[in-house]
Amino acid sequence: MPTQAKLDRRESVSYNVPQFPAAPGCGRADPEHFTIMSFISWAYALLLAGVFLAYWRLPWRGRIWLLLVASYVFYGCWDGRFLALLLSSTIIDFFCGLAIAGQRRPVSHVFATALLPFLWLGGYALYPGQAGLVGPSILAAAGIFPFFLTLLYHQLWRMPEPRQRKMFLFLSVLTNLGVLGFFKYFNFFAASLLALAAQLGWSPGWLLPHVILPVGISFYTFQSISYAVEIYKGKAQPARDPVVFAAYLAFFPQLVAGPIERPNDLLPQFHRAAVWEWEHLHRGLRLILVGLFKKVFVADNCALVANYAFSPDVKLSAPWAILGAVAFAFQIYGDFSGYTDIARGSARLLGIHLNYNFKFPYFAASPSDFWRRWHITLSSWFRDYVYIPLGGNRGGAARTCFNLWLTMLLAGLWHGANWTFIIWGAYHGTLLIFYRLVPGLETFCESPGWKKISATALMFTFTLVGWAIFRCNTFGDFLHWFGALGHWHATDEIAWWRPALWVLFHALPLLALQLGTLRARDEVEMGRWPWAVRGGAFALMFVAVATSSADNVAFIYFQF
Amino acid sequence: MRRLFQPAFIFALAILLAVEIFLRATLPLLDVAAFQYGYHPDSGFQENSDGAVQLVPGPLRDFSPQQFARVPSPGVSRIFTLGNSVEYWDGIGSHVLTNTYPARLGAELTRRGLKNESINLGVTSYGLQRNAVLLRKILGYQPELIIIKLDVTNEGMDESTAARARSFRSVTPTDFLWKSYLVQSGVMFKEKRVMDHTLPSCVLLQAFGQKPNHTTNSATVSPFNETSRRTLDDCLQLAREKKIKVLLLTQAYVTHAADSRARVTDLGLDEFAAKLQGPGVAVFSLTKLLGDLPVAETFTDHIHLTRHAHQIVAEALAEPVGRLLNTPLPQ
Repeated sequence: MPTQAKLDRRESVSYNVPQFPAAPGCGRADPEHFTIMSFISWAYALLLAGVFLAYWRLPWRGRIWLLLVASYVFYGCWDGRFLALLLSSTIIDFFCGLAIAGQRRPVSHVFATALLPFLWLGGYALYPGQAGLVGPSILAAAGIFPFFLTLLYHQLWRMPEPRQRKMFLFLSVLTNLGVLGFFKYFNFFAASLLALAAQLGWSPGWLLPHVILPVGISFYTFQSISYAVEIYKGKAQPARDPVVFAAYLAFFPQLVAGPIERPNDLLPQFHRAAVWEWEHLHRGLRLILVGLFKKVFVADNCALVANYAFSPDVKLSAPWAILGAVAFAFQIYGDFSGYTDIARGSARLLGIHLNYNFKFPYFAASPSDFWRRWHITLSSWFRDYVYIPLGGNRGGAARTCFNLWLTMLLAGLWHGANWTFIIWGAYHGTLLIFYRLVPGLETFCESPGWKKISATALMFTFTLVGWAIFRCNTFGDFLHWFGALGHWHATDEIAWWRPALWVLFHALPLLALQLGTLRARDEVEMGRWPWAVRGGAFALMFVAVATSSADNVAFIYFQF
Repeated sequence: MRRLFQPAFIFALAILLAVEIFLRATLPLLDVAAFQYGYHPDSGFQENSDGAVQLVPGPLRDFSPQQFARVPSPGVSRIFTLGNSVEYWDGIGSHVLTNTYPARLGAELTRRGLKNESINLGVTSYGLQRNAVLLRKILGYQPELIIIKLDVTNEGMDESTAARARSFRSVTPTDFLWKSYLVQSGVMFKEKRVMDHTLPSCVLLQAFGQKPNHTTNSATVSPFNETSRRTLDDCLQLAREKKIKVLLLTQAYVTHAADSRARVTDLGLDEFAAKLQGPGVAVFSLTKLLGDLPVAETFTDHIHLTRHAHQIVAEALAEPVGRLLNTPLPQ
């Protein structure tokens, strides 16, 4: 992208970009690094082009090593220290996966492999200029890890067989949840506890460490959990080659923000060499172009209005509050589905298919329909690994409602350590229950014609309220936004209809694209269009991207 | 190759190439030049053969349309005001030139019997660096007084415009898109014809402007960066050489205290400007003028003035401007 836009906008159009505060013993993390290897950076374009050119010339084994190295470089560009964490997760899940399937490896292999995070961190600490970035406590933890894992591995193998499989599953799941819980929620719960303690008149005189949130941790830990559970259920086979498994878990197009892949969908593609087809190139580039269009043209431009409307110090009127929510709806859809398209396109260039994550979510007629269309890989993950194990709809109406609500609450919590995400999850859980309990409502939503249209409009309205909760930094901000909905006669308000034109200018082309591809699976399916129309659309999308070109604005879902 | 290039791809490429060729053949040279150099000195100025100079909205210089003679009439004091969106807008999203304080100042001076010609050169998002280019240009139109508005808000925009010029001249592959007239004119169209007409200044300021740095309100720290300070020194030196008087008008900012109460502050500008005061250079503080008035009546946001405030400023400026114009410069 041109440099001008980068200079103009890099500080401005981002939304809630995660902060990287100093962590005692960890040194300082640099937020600038966060965007170095963003999907809309030249660095990423160069990496992808290099990998693409080399990949198809290499034999299968070489390709796996290439993917692994590229993925670790991609991730390491953010913060090389956290490769040790990714390595640790990989090692635990690799040996647990094998053990769940009844395949034992010598403890020497386990020990030697588990040394890798320590060696990486040690090397990192010794690298000139990086010495202060790895604290002694972290090095010590990495040093203990091989002994601890080997001992645990050895002990678990001594258990009777049925229990043994279950314990290895627990080890994998608990490790992933523990890592996720610590890095993602420690600050939140610690701050909440301290606030509670302060309310009770007790103020601890010690300071808690401020933990850095590693990019993509929510995605790869969920993918790891899925891997272990599917093997346990006997639905998937474990990877026998640690390099293949490491490449699978760290696969760079989907490492930081999904799609969250199931082992049966993605892992077999790493076990065999993809065969070159021109379709890989055509479809991959098409996906990337559509993804860039959604991100750079739609999302980053709608963000200008959304960011203003959701600023806590802005005096809002009802039209501005609604406009802000609409702008954010298109921002977050363009941002996340755009990211997913670029991820799928990047993978497709390498002959690897990633799953769909979106299917016209704003055309949903009911909450359940919405969750079948929005972030599909996450909602199906929660369905399969939380909702169904909780009992699903098998325990009567009350139990089903509770299961639904709890699942959505956890899905909200997954998005981040903030009360607004939790409330957003609870809100969607309540919506699901409401549609389920009101007699005839779901049938109404599924009826064709005007009923479906009005149900879709109603659902979009509910979705907007949900996005307002999601977008606000605090619940107080949401109340401020909600209260503005009653201010229809503000006399000193800034004209809202001009910014509404701006949002329309950027959202309408996306809606046109969606209407043109409505019968397909997503916006990239233009196969039925005449080639001239397709060519015109490509040219328009290129111009839209090149003239918007908000370079290196962080993707919203990178923070999750 | 047939399998590599599909008809749709070739068609897209053909469209883009055709538009590029068309634009290269038809785009006015000035548009390209303005884009190339960030800020072309002549952009927005149209000199007619009859001796009239017209200010028109030009590439990267969206003047309020005005007209004046190349040489001022004898006995008429010509005043130019260099500023930014504060001078351009006269309320929330409103642009009526006659409501802005430079225009009202002219009327006020006329009412006081001083023949004058007050020309408003305020351009949205302009900072000192781009106003310095304007100052060099207007020196040729024989002004008697130049009002330079000092405002820390747009330094970032000045820098990014300069960066655009650097990107345009760059041979780095990542800057190649800027070589395309299609991309250039697309960006210009979007910024000037879509963005500026749909997004209010408060949204643009929040997105692209620099928020005033509250820590600059200190006697030891200059509110401007090194480049801006050097630029201002050069401007004052040029004015002195041409024997043109200068009034430095310091911007006022609305900030919110911890109790959410709005207050008006100068962010250190008054003290900074006071050091530059001297023969032919006067200082006028908007903070001192507006600081005690109700914020809701004088400011539309953290920086822009209401119509009412434009009138107050014009009336208050008339006195020092009249005095400055009547005071001869030391030889």
